[in-house]
Amino acid sequence: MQRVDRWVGRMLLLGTLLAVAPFAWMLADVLVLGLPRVDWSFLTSAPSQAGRAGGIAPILVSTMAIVLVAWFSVVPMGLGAALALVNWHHTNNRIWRWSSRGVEQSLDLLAATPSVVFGLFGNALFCLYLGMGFSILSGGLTLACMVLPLFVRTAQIGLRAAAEQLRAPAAATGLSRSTFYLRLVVPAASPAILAALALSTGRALAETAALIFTSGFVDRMPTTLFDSGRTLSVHIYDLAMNVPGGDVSARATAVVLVGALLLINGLARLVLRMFVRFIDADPLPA
Amino acid sequence: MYRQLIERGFSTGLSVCAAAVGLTVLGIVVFLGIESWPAWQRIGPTAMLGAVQWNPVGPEPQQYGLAPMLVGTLAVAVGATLCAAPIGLATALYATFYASPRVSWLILRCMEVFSGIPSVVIGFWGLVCVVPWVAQLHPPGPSLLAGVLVLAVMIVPLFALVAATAVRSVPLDLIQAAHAVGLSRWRMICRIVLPAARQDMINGMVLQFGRAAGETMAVLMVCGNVVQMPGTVFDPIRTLTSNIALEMAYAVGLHRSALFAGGLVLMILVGVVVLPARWRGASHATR
Amino acid sequence: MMHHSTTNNPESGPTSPIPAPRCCGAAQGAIEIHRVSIAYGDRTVLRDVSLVVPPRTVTAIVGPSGCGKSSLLASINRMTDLIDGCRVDGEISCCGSRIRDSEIDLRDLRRRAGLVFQRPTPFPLSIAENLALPIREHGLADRREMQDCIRRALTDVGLWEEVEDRLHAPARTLSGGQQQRLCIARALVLQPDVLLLDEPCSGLDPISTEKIEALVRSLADRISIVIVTHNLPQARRIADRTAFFWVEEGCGVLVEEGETQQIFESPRHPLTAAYVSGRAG
Repeated sequence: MQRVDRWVGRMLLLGTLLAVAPFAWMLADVLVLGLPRVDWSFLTSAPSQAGRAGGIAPILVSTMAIVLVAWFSVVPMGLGAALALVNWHHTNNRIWRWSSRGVEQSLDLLAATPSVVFGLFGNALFCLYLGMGFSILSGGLTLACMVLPLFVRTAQIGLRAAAEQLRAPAAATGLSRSTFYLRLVVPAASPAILAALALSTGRALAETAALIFTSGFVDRMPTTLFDSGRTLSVHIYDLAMNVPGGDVSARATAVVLVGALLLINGLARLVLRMFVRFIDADPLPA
Repeated sequence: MYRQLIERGFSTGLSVCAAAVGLTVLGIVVFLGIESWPAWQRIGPTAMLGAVQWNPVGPEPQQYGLAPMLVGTLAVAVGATLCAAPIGLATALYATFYASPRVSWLILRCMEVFSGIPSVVIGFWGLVCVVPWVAQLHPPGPSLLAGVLVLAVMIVPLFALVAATAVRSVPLDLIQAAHAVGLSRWRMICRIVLPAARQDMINGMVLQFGRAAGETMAVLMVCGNVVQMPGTVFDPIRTLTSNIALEMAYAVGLHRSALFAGGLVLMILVGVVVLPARWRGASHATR
Repeated sequence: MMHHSTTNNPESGPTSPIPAPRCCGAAQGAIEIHRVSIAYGDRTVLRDVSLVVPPRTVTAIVGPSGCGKSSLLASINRMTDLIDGCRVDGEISCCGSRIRDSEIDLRDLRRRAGLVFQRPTPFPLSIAENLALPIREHGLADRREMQDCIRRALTDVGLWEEVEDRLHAPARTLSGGQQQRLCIARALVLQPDVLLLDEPCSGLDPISTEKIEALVRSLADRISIVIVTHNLPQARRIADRTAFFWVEEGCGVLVEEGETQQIFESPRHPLTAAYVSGRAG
């Protein structure tokens, strides 16, 4: 009996190692061959020879611009929607309950939608129909659509917790709905909102397929939002697939990308955990 | 009066945001429908979904068969899910029942970190490490097998996290009762933990299948992208997603329309498979 | 019989101010409760209660847990609207306006009838902002008068000297007793006619309790106060009138109501006698 149990333990450990090993291999490969390329000049110079030499400065700028466009569209929209869901959830009116269920189900479907489909949608709507062409603007808006469900769902958790705690005292003080949400609930839930933003940023940075035919491939320094620009992920893809001999630059870019992602995701989880503790430690009666 | 206007404006603003978010998904389906309409109309659904030839820009007659791509998508996604499930489950069980608390914490944090690694980096690793290895087994290298392996690596971390959550949500009194009658850890896992967590596991597997079927970059970089029905696991294949990513940049007219049709098929496939699992998951969570 | 449609948000109903009598006539009570029953879904928690709270008095509501005391208190400023499936039948008027009218301005009602909860509920803002936010919301003071308003309210509750030098610190850094007094101040800055206190001292230490009791007594010459309490000696110390509730077949009823002295020294009902002497409850 004991022997079987020990054997099972060993098999499970083997499975765990199988889960970890590929990533260890991957990170080792990328770090060993890529990290030596990463220095200050790599981050601040333009790529040359299709990216085999030079740096990634314009790509960093394009990436930031695309992420900023996504932020500026997803934050007001997503926050408004999350607040509406929190608000509707607390009404007895059947129409609002149905609406909130409808919105939540479409968020579920949106979360399940493959990223390449967002690319098709962005290409049709932003690039062609709205005439933005292959541009940072189109790419950022496409990413905004893509990260909406993640942002709304995460923000909603924090907003709901804060609203449940503060609803009774706010009502007893006769606060209006807008004051209640804007002055009390949103500030109280701001850690959760920040975490939602960080998770969404991580998802956006990791994305490639939705961008190759919305923000395009151009690796020059963008001057306006209507210029095409490539993100770090697109750069890695292009170097790996279309540029023979580009693999060292691809690894170096991957080091930068994964480093940024680890930082952002780590920060998000930290903030979220602190928020949970904060809510637990100091609960207000509802 | 002024105050009332503000309140009215605030409520309307919220509703508008929620409506816009709710309608995004509708917009996606509508745009896919409009853009793919010429293809459905002029080529016909049976010709597109049934034919095995894809020749959109070559010499006449042009052919738009999505069947090989659909088969490729299903093959690579099912293969990856089947490979990833036991590994992810083993990781979750080891972390929960066998590892020391510190090791368990380390494993789960690692899975969180790995689940955030961009698919393009995983695809790149597949291209420079897995493909040459597969080529040694059996040339040419870029193949269904490579795609299955790379996708499996990609979905293992999230599946392990979902499985760990499912295993942990098994009521503690059940586990204590098992300890009380002196069941071994392994018996307890088989008889009590796995049956109790089965539904959540299946949901998690279905969701990961959806992620695998919808993944573009990783498969695009390692599958070889030859349009054909795969005969063996060493044959290169092309999926619906990589087809779109490869050809969208230069597609015009009916060709472009056919790519959107592929996207619609993919969206329906993923929606039909994944949504019921999400709903089940939601009702499970609220219970 | 009527039951209000429960519109569950901090503010609902039209914002147009209806003429609200600021002061209560001597003849009528500050709060008049007439044949009120409260139910959550199918479960009735309070049946057929009639009670008059005279102006400028302290009225204590005492009785065992589950007798609907807190529900009655919450129904006076329609906080029961926030509870899903809660239904209130009967008539309640507060300061001359019938609160069950669909026309009533809920925000104004809640300004005039301030409610303080069992546990301190400061907003997650600074101490000063906790008071400034409701003042601004109801347009009760302009920028110049704001400081005065805040200082007066904090002085009323005896908090001014304790927090004078840290008005901009988060309210959560205060002790429990200080937080509760801040919440009372938050109700007072709105210049209420009625203050409803739902076991305000149940989580506090004896010193904080004593401070709040003194505060309640000092407020009684200006406004009417209804205080729900478990603590009989407390009711005896601070209340002019006492209403005794009891649970009958799982449902709260009003057993006896009168001058505090009479309730405690010569109760008419045997249940009251048993309860105040500690033999029941």
